[in-house]
Amino acid sequence: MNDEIEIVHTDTITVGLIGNPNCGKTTLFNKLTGSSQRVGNWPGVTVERKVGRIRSHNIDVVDLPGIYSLTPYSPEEVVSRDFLTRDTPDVIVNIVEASNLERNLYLTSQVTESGIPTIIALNMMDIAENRGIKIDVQKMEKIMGCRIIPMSASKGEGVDDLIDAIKDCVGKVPNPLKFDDDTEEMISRIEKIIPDTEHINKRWYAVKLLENDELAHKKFSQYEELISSMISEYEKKKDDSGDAIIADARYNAICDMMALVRITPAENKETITDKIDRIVTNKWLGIPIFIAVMFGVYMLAMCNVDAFVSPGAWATDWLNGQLEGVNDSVREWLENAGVSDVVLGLVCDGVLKGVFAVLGFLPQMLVLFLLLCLLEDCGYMARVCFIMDRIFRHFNLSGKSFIPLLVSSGCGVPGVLSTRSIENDCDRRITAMTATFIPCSAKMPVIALIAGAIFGGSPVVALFTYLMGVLCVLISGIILKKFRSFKGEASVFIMELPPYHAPRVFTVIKAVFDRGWAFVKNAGTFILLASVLIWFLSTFNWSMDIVDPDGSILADIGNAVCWIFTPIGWGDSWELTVATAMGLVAKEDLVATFAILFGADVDAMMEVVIEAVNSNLSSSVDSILDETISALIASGVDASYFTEEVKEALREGIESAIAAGGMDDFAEDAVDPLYSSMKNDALSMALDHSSAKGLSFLVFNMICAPCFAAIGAIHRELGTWRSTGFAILYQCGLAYLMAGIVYAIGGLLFSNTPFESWMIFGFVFLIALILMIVLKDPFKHINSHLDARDARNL
Amino acid sequence: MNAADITCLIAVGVIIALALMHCVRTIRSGGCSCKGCNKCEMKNCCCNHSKEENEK
Repeated sequence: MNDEIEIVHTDTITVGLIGNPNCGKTTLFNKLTGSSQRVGNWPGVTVERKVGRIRSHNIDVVDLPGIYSLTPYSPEEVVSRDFLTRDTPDVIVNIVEASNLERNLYLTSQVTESGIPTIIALNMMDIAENRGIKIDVQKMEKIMGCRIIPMSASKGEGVDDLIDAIKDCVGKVPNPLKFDDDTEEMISRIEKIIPDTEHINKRWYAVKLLENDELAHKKFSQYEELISSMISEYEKKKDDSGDAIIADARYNAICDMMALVRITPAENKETITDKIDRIVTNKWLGIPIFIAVMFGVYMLAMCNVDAFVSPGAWATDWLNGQLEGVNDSVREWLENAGVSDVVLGLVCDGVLKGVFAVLGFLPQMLVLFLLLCLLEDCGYMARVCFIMDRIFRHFNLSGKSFIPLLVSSGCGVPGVLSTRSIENDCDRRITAMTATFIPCSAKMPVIALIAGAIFGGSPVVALFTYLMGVLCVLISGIILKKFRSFKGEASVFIMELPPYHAPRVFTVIKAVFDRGWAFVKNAGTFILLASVLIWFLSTFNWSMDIVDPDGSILADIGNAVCWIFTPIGWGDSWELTVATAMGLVAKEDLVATFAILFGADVDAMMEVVIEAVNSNLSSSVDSILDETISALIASGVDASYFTEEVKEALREGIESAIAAGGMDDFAEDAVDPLYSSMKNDALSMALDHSSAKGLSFLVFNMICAPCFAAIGAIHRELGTWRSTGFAILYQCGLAYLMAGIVYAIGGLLFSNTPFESWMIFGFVFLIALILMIVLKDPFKHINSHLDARDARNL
Repeated sequence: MNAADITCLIAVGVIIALALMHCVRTIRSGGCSCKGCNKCEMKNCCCNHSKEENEK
């Protein structure tokens, strides 16, 4: 070890975890502290520092975002560098990937220059050994002047050795890598000029000055003239820029060291990862394989057609039955306790009906989360970013923008936060504005509901929504870059593809549990509040009398604004308008709102059935069936609804009712098939049984402004309420255009949607969208207005 | 309004108040219900928020 310096520190040791992206920092952080931070098999999972504690050893551990160098280009690199230079930890644990040592040591060479006691954690040793790589750890320790701990963080191997090394390491300074003589001489000349710094070695700043690091030059601005002239002279002599000279010197020093410490180099044979990648990242096959994989995911999670009922859909049906049973039991119990009708309605038709409608989708969500987590953890989703880069580049974005979209498929909030890994500020803001276009877990119940009501439970609807979200992100890449404040070239996307590995059981279970728990928590809080509000507004009129939903406060509000949605196909239903507005609280609220509003319609229909059956009990089954159907049609049920399947279900119900001697309020089991068909049918009726209207409604609600929590996250990333307002306006505007286009094109494609004059708007929207994409400067008036305003302010 | 109604309303009221507190906290912290006290050592934080981030 090198000379020891005296550091005054408290009993607690502060340790910083630093390393390249996706080298296993968060996995090690979790192992050390017993925390459960999100880990992912792609770079950029950690975007801000996190603190944990090894309680038994009095050690604070700070997990930092992954970086390739300490020259701050992206916000993550700023976070890591600030931590080193301002907070000055007692020990730095630099995690390096044993199978990619040369590249990882580039950062190590910068860390050791800082003079902060350092330990090198040689992670993923198991993978390196499998590839035939052997390293002389003792020799490397001697050269670097610090402890090197071989380990496998995911298996927990070497973690105890690391903790022991941390305790021993405090105050021991590592050796910086030695460059060529000319560069070393130049560094020592600069060192002589600059004064002593508080925590960091002078050498670190000297190298940074030579690299023409902006922050270092700012720090020593009083010596700027002298230092700059020395550096210029040196650059002239070497015929290269300072940063290139240092980068070259670093790699030479690393190569020299590796020649000494590497016992056996990696065998240059094709691995299984290479073989799989040749197919899944193929130029032509990559996208079709991705679409097929996503179709498979939605098929297993949500498919509910006659030919195949997925495990998710089966479990959802079962859970819905159980929850309905719980609601009935609570209703019976409260009635027996003498609770009045209004309070009974508040509890059963307000709170429970709304919350249970959302909770019922939990099994489908769990299956979906499980499949997505498996794809993420095995390394496939990192390949998707690579595949998408090829497409995104044509739309002024990079594959890095796809990482937030992946995260958003779980929840939009961390999705928006993860845009911080994008260096280019314009790309970052565009991605933050559009990440919520991807269907998150809250939107999935809405998709399942519409798919069930209009499309017979087909998984194609979910795939369509996902692809529509990606399409809107791509379109936004083109359109937004035409606004002055988003102009600029897309950043270059460099990403290291991690090797495939079998998904880790704990990581997957943890991720599924976290997402599932967040879903349940949302149902018990946001949905509960919104359900109470919807119940209140749909039960009372302005004079606070109890009325039918059609005469309620909610209906008045909905009717006042629902005309806005007429050009996109569903402006004649106040219920759909109200549900869309409630989606701002949380997207699952659409489902809860439908359950409360359409629940009342279903109850009314049930009363018609019961009355028709009971008043004709002495007649034949066929006669009762005819009477019941006539009564239902008279009450407003569309005649086209009575298919053979529905008639058969109704007939069975009537036969059961005759056998039981009549129907009462609690004989609903006898007509269960009809009841569940009718439940879906209420929503279907609101959409006129039209596929085009169904898709238009779905597209608008998927693309428009997200929930309040995600809007809060967008505000944090964009920085001002003005930008946030623009983002919301843009999202709602694009959603309106896309919904109109889908409605118009759907009118041509689907036989169950007659042509309506409003569809002309859809074609106008399509032309407007094409013009915005094709024209070079469609927003020139807005841009010139902004230019003029700026000129005035100057 | 009888005793059963009042009992029921109090129970629903308490649940609504708790849910409202959670929702306000979540929206104010930008999507995460974490209070940023760090007492849980990040074990219960769903959004990977740091203490500094929540205090902002």
